[in-house]
Amino acid sequence: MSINESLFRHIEAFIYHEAELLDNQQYDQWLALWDEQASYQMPVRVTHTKRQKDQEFQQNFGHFDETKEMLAMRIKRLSTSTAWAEDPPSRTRHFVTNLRISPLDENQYELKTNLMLYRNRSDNAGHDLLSAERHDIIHKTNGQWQLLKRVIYIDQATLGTLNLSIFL
Amino acid sequence: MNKSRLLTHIADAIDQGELPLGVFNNPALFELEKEHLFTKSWNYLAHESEIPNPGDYVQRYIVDDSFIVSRDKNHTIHVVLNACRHRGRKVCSVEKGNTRNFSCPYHGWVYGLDGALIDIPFEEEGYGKDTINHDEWGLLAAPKIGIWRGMIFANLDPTAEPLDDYLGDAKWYMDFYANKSAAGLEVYGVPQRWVVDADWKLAADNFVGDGYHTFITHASVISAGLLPAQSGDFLLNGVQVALDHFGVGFARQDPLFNSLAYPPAMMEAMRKQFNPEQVALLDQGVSLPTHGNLFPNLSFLNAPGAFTAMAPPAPYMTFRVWRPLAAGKTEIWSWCMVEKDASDEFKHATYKAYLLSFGTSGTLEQDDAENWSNISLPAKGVMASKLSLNYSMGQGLLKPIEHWPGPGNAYPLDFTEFAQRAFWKKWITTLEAE
Repeated sequence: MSINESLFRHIEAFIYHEAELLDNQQYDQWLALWDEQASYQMPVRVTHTKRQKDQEFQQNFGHFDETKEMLAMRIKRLSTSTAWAEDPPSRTRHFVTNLRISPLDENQYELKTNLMLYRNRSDNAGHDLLSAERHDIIHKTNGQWQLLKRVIYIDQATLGTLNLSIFL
Repeated sequence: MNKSRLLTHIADAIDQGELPLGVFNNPALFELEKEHLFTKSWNYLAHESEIPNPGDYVQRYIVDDSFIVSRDKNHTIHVVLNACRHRGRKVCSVEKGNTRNFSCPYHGWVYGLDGALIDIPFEEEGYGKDTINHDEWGLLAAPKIGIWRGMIFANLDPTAEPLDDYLGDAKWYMDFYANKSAAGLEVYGVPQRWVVDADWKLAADNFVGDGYHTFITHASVISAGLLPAQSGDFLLNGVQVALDHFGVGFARQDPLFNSLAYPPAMMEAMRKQFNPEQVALLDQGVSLPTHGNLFPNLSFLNAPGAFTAMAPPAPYMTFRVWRPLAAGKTEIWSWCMVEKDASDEFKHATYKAYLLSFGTSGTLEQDDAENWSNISLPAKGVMASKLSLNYSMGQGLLKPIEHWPGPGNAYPLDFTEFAQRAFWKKWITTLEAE
């Protein structure tokens, strides 16, 4: 199986659309992009020596380790009038680049993307930057792309942002 | 304002049930805390379960001082300053691992897991044979270390009282966190670490005795069903205990909070672990303790959290170190703790409940950090720093509960500030004592 130009552009447009929904806080629409069996993970990263580098990302312990139901609970909370961490909302910009696509079967693809997430709060002139590589699995059901799995490999051991009330 | 006037001014305010807002972002106070408070306190570093095997080590901090906490081949635990005796370079620049020794990358001095100096390259040529007494040039051991129920602490004051004496009456309450099962606790995963623009004292102040904030700060998690309480004021009719160095809050007569969602079999097992007075407390309709803080900056939280409609809520427990980085700036260390002998299913449920509620992405935690940064950042304002904060809640209103089975004064509401006032009293007397 190969990735032709047309398919590449379709998948690229899908991940840009997904990023736009997050930056616009259209969380219900974002959640709808996820398969019912979705898994959304962001393993905690621990600094190890080069020799023990394979132990950096924790297999079983994350900043996120979500089912779709857990994502839905977070989004339900964000929709209330008392989710103070996002009121006023963070201004985020998801810069998604370096798209690499590997077909798993004719309907299912593994994507690798680089993410630079800019975050600004309130009237503070500063910002937080979160950098990560994301490994996604998407598939097509009923003619629509859906996210099946995302693993966010964050480029920080100690996070430089006050919380993860946003999604990567 | 000179140091003694600054402290006297704050001490006078504390005596009147007030506190100037400026304490949450004051570089002069931060320097005093660094020099005179954290150097005399029992600082929590790690749990034994983080370094289970010989050769295991983690790097931990007391403010700016880096330490290696390791387990040697005889299973003895060591805490040594992470600084080579030759030029001071960190001999360990990773967070954890397993090793036979630590070799300094600068000039190759080698130290054992216990900090003992093993080798100096070109020693004979450079220093002369047997000139350097290796016994005197090992990595510096923390002046005092103490381990209680697997919890490893260090104290930089060689004259400090033993950990066990310092913990004192707090142990009676900390048992509820750490002694629920004969096997004890283990860390689930690793600590999450992140940095917030908030003063460490705000976090300690919140955990030591702030049952009050939940109904508004955490309203969203209750309406979204993440915290399966009937309403946000579940600690209102609880109990708050204030010791001079420890504060803790309980719910009361609450069907969910009394067991914190621990399954009946685990509740039964706990009762065998606890002493008769501790069991008597549970029999009075008092919950397992929820929030708590051991002075200065080790906090505890045990609570129920929902994570799926397919299963009942699960209890989660987190240990915290609020590591001060600067005035108004803190690195949070958050551990998810669980009973070592619990089932894998229970551990997994407690992990999921923890993630949704606390830690970097926790839905309760998010709003706490938002509050604390919105206090710490403005606290450096000239006018704001002098603002007098009202710390009088419950003063003159509540009397200690009679026949309370545990040590210290227990007050019949957790919407009160006795434990916070005790925290600030301890803080100011520690700073004034030097």
